Amino acid sequence: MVYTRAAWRRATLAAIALMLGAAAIAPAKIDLVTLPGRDETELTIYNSQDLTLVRETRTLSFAKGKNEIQFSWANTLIDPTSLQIDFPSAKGLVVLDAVYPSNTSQLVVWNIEADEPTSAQAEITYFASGLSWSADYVVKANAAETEFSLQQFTTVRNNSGEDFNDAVTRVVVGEVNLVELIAELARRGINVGQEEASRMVLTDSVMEADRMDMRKSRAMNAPAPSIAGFSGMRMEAKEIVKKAVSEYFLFAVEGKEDIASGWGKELPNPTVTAIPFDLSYELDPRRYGDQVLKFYKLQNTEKHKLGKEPLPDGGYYVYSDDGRGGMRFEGNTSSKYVPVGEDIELNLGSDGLVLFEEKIQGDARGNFDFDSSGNVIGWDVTRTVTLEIKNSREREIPFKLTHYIDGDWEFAKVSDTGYERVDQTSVRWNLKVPASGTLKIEYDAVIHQGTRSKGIAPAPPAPMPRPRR
Amino acid sequence: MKKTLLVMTVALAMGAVANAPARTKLVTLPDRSSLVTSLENPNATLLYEEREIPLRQGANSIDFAWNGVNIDQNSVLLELLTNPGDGDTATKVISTAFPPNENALTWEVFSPEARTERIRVSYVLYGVSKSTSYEIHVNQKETAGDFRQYLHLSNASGENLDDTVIRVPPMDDLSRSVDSGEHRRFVAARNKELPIQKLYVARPGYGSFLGEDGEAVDLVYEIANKTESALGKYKLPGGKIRLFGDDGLESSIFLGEDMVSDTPPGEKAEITLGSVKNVVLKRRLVKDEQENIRRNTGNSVVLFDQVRQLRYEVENFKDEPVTLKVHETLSGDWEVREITSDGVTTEKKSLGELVILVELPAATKGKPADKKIVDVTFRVKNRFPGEQ
Repeated sequence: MVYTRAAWRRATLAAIALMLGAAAIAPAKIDLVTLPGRDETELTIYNSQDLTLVRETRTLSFAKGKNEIQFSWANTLIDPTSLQIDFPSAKGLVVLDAVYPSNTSQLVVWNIEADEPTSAQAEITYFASGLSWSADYVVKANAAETEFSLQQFTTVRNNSGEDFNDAVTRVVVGEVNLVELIAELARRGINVGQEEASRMVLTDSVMEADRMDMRKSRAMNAPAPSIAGFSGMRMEAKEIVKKAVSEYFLFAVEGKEDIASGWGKELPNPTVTAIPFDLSYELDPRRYGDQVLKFYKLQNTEKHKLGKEPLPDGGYYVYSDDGRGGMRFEGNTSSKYVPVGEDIELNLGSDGLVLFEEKIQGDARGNFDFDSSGNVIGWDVTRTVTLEIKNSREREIPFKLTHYIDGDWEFAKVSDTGYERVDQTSVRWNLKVPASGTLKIEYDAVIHQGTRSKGIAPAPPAPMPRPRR
Repeated sequence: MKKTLLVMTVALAMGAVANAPARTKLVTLPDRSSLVTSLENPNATLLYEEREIPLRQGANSIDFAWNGVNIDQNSVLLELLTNPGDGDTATKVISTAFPPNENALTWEVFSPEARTERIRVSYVLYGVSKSTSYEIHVNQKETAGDFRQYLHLSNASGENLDDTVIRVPPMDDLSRSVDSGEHRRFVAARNKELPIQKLYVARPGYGSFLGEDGEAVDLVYEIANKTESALGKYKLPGGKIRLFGDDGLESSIFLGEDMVSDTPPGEKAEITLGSVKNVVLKRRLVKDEQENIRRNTGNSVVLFDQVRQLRYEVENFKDEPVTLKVHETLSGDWEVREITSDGVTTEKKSLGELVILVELPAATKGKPADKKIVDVTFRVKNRFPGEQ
């Protein structure tokens, strides 16, 4: 098959050409090439960056002496500085160098020395842009809102411009640091100067570490056997193997996937049922604003039938049994990455059924301090406050109230409901509000001002001008 | 104008090509057996429908597509109801594929045998909104009224909601069709004898005394969301309320309208219908003094008590006794020191508000209305200079 550069396919990604005994690249040369197909493709997709580590395995034949392997791509974003070729199981093959021709930005030629004619599996790795993954969760609570089922979905989206067929797919949870964006490197192409060279070294070292990890974990990527009698169709939702790697967490999808360019694919994890959780209504104005919010709370622990691995950050769609044989949409929310043992808080927003009202009933001044000139320099304010929680639900609800009182203060009197002084400015109540009822908290807080305060004294009030005589 | 489409696609070859760009479909349209429109969430509408679908042994593809409808793609969910679970005999969703540049998705479903499966497809649909309004037809004595709570449903989603169960707890389910572009109103609750308290209410501005010009007095009906009013089971959502009155001529007149806010169980709602002319309030500041003055060594005042006397001159020109409710706005550490008239009660609502209730006798026909003068003296303790 004869390829000229002008004839390279434009709509697909990588063509790999083995040029037997080829001469140095000349602008107008015509290459005699063969196009070995991919034996295996592995995608390792990160979610913190637009970054996918692609590993292709192809079987190549070599003549004794110098061989050129040409790798080119079009309409897809590959960081050319990341391209590597390796022969992990072959002997007598040495990669002499990689050449990035000056007049094209989507081509690399590896010069490879072979001791003798041989055929070997080549492992080609590179960073690509345009693939992404996300975690999504579906939560279904029972009518009593005491337990829920949780199903996690892993969704891979391919906007790389390249179709990936029969690809082993792995996704990585964790923050990976990149000096430059892969898409930017891909667009820029190779322009080797001092700075670029140093970047290439850095990128190579990062990728080498990934490749080592990749080899270590290869065993768990073995394709799933197909089910006899169903022409290879799976009987089960795919198992997603989860494994910690350094500070990252790797989710490897069982078997192989076809992910065409432009498509997304969502793969379900097994559903975990009857997970106990705590329903909570909460008001914390400085954290959430003035609305009462509804939460489902639990921990990523075995007690909650979880705790085997971290939960990647993602979106949660939360439903509950509406008690009429149907379902209620509680809301959609997002959650940060949850390590094992960490709390999970699903903020469902306001359902409008629980209202809060704060009323200041009194603001009495007293205990004045005066300076030697008779000016007021300190005093206490006894603030009388009523806090009312109005529950319109036909069930008792737990309510966590975080309330703020600024300044140097202490309670002189407070309703006998039990409270926790969280810090200087906040106090918290964990309450039970009766069904279709109101719970009232009353307190008197003594707030010290001026010289009576242990904190920074506010400016004392200015005296009234001297009366006319 | 149905804009969502659930398509049962039987793959033409084993090893279904759910995500091949050029999809070939053998399409059957399973009948929808139920559609529920759940409006319980205040911010989003959940639709779910159930259908019986025939599955063949092995892989099946089910397409779900929409056009011109604002569906949250991430919310679209397929549940298998007949054979759920993870066991060998269960029907399972293997994957979901999202094609490029289409409002569509394809579920790959595995069935261990050829059989019929009941499925539920749910999704969050935007563009369907609900609101509440109220209407009360007040009796001639203005003591009770025929109360109706309405649910309004506006469907701007682009999807016709055909024969849907509309679910807005605590209301009973409604079975209706609501076409796209349609607005429908339903009676959500009714109480033919809702007790009403008629009040006259003044809310004078803080620190302003209009004197001879008089303060605005509004007609207010008060209703209670309580069990004694045959309500009180759930929150009355905020909304517009219109009142009509029996005119004694076998007809009615429009009395006015107001917006009421959310009224939880046990609470009261005030419906303000505008100014009245038959109850007059003139309010004056007749004394503003300082007591317990403390001065510094330079003889400047540094602390004092403020004593204010407000005079309320009230006249009732109606031939029935009325109650005037004055919402007085105050500041500082105040207390009521003295009230000079009988038939007056006060209630401290908060540090900033005192309610003064003044009972007024009916006017005597042919005679000038009696003027009731109420002096209320307040003391505000420990004022600093410059505070009013």
